[in-house]
Amino acid sequence: MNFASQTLSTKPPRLRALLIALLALGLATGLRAEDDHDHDHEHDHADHGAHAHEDGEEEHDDHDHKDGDHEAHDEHEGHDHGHEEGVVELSPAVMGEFGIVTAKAGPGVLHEEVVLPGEIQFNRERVAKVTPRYTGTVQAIDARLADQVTQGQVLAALESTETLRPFDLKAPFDGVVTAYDVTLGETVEAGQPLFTVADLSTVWADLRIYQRDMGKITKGQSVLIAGGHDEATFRGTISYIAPVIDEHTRTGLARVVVDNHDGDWKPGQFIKGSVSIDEHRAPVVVPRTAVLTYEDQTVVFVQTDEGFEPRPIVLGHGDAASFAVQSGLKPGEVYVTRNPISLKAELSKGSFGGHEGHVH
Amino acid sequence: MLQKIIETALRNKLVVALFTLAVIGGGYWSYQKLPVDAFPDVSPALVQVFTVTSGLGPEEVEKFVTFPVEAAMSGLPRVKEIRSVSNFGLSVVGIYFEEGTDIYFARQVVGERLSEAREAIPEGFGEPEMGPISTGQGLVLYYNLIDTTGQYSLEDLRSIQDWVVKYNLQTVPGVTEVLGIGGNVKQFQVNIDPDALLRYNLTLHEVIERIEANNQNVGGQFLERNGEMFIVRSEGLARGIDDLSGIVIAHEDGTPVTLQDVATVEVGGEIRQGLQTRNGEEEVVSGMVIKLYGTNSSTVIEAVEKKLAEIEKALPEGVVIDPYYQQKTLVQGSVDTVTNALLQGIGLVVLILLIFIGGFRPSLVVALSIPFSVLFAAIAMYYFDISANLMSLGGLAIAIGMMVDGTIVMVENTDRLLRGAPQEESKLHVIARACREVAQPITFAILIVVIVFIPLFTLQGVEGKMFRPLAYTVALAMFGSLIYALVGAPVYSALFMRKPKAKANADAPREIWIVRALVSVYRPLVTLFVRCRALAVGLSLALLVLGAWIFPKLGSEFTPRLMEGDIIANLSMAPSVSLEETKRNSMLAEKRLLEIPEIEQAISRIGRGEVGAHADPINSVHMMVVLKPKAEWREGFTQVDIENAMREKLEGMPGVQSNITQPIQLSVDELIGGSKAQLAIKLFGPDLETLKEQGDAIAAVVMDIDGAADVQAGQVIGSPQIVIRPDREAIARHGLNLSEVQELIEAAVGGVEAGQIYEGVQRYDIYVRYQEDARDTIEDLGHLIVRTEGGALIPLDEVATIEEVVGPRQIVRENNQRYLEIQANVVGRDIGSFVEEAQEAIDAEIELPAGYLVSWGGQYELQQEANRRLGIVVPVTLALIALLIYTSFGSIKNTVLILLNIPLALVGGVVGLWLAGENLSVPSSIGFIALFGIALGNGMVLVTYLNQLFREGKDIDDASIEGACLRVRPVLMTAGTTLLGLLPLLLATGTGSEVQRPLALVVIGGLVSSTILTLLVVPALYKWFTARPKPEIS
Repeated sequence: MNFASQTLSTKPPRLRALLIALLALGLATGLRAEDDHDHDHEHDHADHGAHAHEDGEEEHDDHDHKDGDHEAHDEHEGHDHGHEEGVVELSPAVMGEFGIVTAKAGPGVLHEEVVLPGEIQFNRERVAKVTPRYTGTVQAIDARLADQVTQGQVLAALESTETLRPFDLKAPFDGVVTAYDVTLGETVEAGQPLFTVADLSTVWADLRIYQRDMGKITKGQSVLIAGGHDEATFRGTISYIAPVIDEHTRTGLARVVVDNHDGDWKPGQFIKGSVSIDEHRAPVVVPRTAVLTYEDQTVVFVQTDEGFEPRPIVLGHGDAASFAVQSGLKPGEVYVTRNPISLKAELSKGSFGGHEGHVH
Repeated sequence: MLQKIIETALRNKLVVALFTLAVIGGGYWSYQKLPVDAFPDVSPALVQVFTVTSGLGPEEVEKFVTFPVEAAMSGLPRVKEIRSVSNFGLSVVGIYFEEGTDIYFARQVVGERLSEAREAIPEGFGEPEMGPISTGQGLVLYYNLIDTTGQYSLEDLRSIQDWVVKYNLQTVPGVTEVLGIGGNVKQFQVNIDPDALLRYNLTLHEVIERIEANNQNVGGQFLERNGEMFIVRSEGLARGIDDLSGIVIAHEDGTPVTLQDVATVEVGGEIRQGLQTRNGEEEVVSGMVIKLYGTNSSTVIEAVEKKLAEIEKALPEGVVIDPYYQQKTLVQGSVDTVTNALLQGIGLVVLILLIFIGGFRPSLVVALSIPFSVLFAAIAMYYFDISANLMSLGGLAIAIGMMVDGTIVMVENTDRLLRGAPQEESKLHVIARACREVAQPITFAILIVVIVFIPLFTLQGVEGKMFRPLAYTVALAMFGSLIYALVGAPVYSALFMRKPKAKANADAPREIWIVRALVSVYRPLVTLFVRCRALAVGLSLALLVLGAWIFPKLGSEFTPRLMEGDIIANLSMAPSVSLEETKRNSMLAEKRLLEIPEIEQAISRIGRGEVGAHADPINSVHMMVVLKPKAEWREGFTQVDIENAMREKLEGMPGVQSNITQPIQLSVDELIGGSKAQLAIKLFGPDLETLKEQGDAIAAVVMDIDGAADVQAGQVIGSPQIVIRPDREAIARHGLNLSEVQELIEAAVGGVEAGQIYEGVQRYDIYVRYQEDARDTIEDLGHLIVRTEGGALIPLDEVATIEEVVGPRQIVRENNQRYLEIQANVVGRDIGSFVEEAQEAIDAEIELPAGYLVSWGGQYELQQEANRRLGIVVPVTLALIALLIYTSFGSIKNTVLILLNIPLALVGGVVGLWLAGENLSVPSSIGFIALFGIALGNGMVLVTYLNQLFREGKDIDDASIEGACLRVRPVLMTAGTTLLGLLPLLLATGTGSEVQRPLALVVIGGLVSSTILTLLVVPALYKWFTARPKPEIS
């Protein structure tokens, strides 16, 4: 550049300066793009440095006016999307589309129950072991395994080995021969059980109680006994609770006397007993599908004038389908019973609470 | 030397003609062989390591899987960065290598360390594996399997996909992987009744052992009999449900207990982490074809299509394959756009030649340089492995106008001298003289154009991969044109052009009318400027001020968005939602989108399918929107309009966030920044809760900045978990082991695989688990019974606490540090200024705790990187050019005069961008670079001639005017050809035109301004910049 100006000595100096300025300007324009971006870059780095604060402040001043605008904007936004209030507004059309169903809060009945495993046992009060009074020889056997016998029916005829007088073994009550251990001509000792006769018109359902449930199970509770698959069911009450715990399995025992006139229940069979612990009437009962956890609170979504809001509630008892609401939801309020997840999801979009794709 | 070349060429005309033929023939052959892609592959050198760890939560995945893999991979040679995502049941570690690292080398070193990682991962927590050998552009085709008859279940369709379609497609050369998603992977499910286990005194463990022990084939070597050998084998494999059901689990007093006594055995679907839905109607089974790294997209796609047609024939009646996304369309669209521009450019250039030169013969000589240069470039592309794509072909289209420049100057000079040559001088001699005169400036001018592109070769990263092919082809074509100008042009001038003979009355107009008309307007103008130099200075200054005034108004962006013709809507739901809920929502969204008449299909990929390409959680949906053909669109509708319509439709879906992008854009963005949006703000820090809190605050700030769209804070937490914490005291009291409790949770709740069932070559898992009603609710889990060795039966909640907590959705890490990403798109303004404003706002409003820091990425990052490099590269180029000009002229003053063209050309480019409303971007920067070359070339040619006249002893002013008038034709011609050659690119609307337009715009605008100034200002200022006619060695 110096060299150029020397050679221009014949021209008025003003023009020369102008020309140099022109050139400089031109080159500067050419490089401006790069300068600019370098700037950006420095700024970016400055963000992390201690230096940043100063820079930021200065610029902050420059943009004071703008920031003011933003604050105003903020308030507006806040109102629009209303995260502070945490309300979701939905048109009926969208609710229909998303399968969001509402209902009025109202009373209901809860059936609290505990399901216990167990098995069918003989009714031990109606089982008899038939034994000969004297040692004797078996002369005749009149009843075989599984034979139905009536009270007084002769099961076998024996002859005493001492007195050589015949005597009969008779069924003590109506029942079924469930076991016999005797052969013809055999000599049997007095008191040796030859036949077991059981009255199967009633059987016992012995249910196992885990330690956790022991407090809940009491005598007299209603129990639905089911054998599983498509077998019969029986509703009875708990008639006995064992005072001790089985040392082996660490479970307790509850007993239901089951009517078995139809012969549906066979001793040894596995069953399940659903014990109705309690039956509550509650002023507000909501289905399980209505209840969600939102920000560490149990909530239902309640319709208010502004829209749907998550309402923290305290749950009481519950059964398989519903919960009782202790507090938080008053009878008559409208709340979401199905698909409240859409509302929760809308609220959890982020604390900025806006709609996506929202261009300012 | 140049003279030697020209003379040698003229002496060996036949050789030159054969050489031309050879180049043209070879070029055509190479062009046919060139691989064709949509655009250059910008994916980074990346190796991904996937580890599937079924059933583990993100924290465990991070701790037990991701961390060991990361640790093993750090310290590998040439590694730039390690990024990881720990998701529910999946760990993905991405190892980014330095630019230009051979992918097979990268895979090899990763593979070597993989065994180390494998050992560090606890037993049973999964096997780390490398992803497919492919890139972001590797997903070349997506298809759905559609059952038109309605008689095939989703299990059936998935089996067809996995065992028929996939297996056959994988045999196609160039296909590295086919990944299935959707439907149900068939499985033999053994659903155990826990009560039955109690009843028969069995444990789950025993059942699993029994199943495994009763499902085996063994070999028993062979028997020899009468000299023959019989192989002995035992077939004990279960063949189906019946065999499985009959497996004996235990004996009770001689009564066998079979599997069906304790469980139900049925065919069902595997536990899945993803599915695919279509048009809001149905679930579908789908596949993605991934092409091998480095293969030719077009041939692979073609081969895949052919194979698909074959496979379709083998499918059961009524099942069809519906490819709904093919990169082929994009590839073809891009290539069509540039080839059209190329052809139209050639036409326009020839037109200009005919007008300005007037004669057919000289025009032919010039026009021939186009095929020569283009095909020369094609040969070189083939040699250097540059694929034909939007960028490389675009380079040729840009160069069309410039390729002819050298030859134009040559032919124009020849033409002029021939007309004025004395009768007795032989044609050959005149031509040799004419060529000699201009050979040097031409060579330098072309070399300058080549040199200005050289710095582009130094571009790194994405912008380098994107734009280097363009620079290559421009340079190659220009080099070709130089060869033609020096070797071909003299020979073909000699062969085709004639001396005007008989009618050569000396005073006859030597120029055609159009040139005369031009000169008659131009002469007074240039005279005015030469006489009144202040005017020239004033005009230049005025233009510069205009440029300086407009320049700050321009926005900036990285690359204009390339319209792919397919749109993807990314939906994300709340992090807590289940797969079914996501499915329900995305089907509703599909229905909404189908209301837009331009949309033909909406197909959602939810979560992830077979591992290898995606690691999306189940609350994430990628919805591919297939558009109808453009002819069926509403009047005047563009892809952007459709995208806006989609945004509108998706807005107001409760609990759904959306983000609109395109298929390749999506996968490339994912690979580059790990981000799906233009702008990604990363907040680094150790604690997920804090990250979430601060991230939301940052998102809120960004949301309020003008132009913010699709703002989303990453979902790091929000996934509900049921945590079972064994109570060690209680366990000890009951004499249990912790493992007994945990095995129960793993096997009973989660399920375990117990061998396979083979159906031919197809094999399906046997999956053992408690039946659903035993593990369905949190109460059920509490009721699970743990059996102690002593036989005691203890419900789970007596030895463990069970509670619901909110846990992490996924844990993302970069270089061993957890981070949260806030993404945003910028609409209606440039990203650069947006980022600046956002940074200020965040600085002002948010105070981060110690140990937390913010970094900015996404497209913005790339732009900065590109600008930084250009900031170094451009001045260096300028210096190089100045040096070159100085070598040519030997005068600093001349050099300065020529360099004066640069700012003047810049102004035109800036105005051009501003008028068209485009932003400063990488393509427009490249436009500026090209512009330098062209403008300088013009200036050089003019100044050379002025120097020549001045040396002949003319008065400076007269020489300036005379020289300018004589040079107006070639200057206008070269500028005109370049300008018209670019016009088609400017006006093109096809696929990919968005990327080329700013480039064309800059060059055209700049050419207009620089040509005017070359013609008016340079002659005017010439006087001040005259090289002193000092005694040279002449």
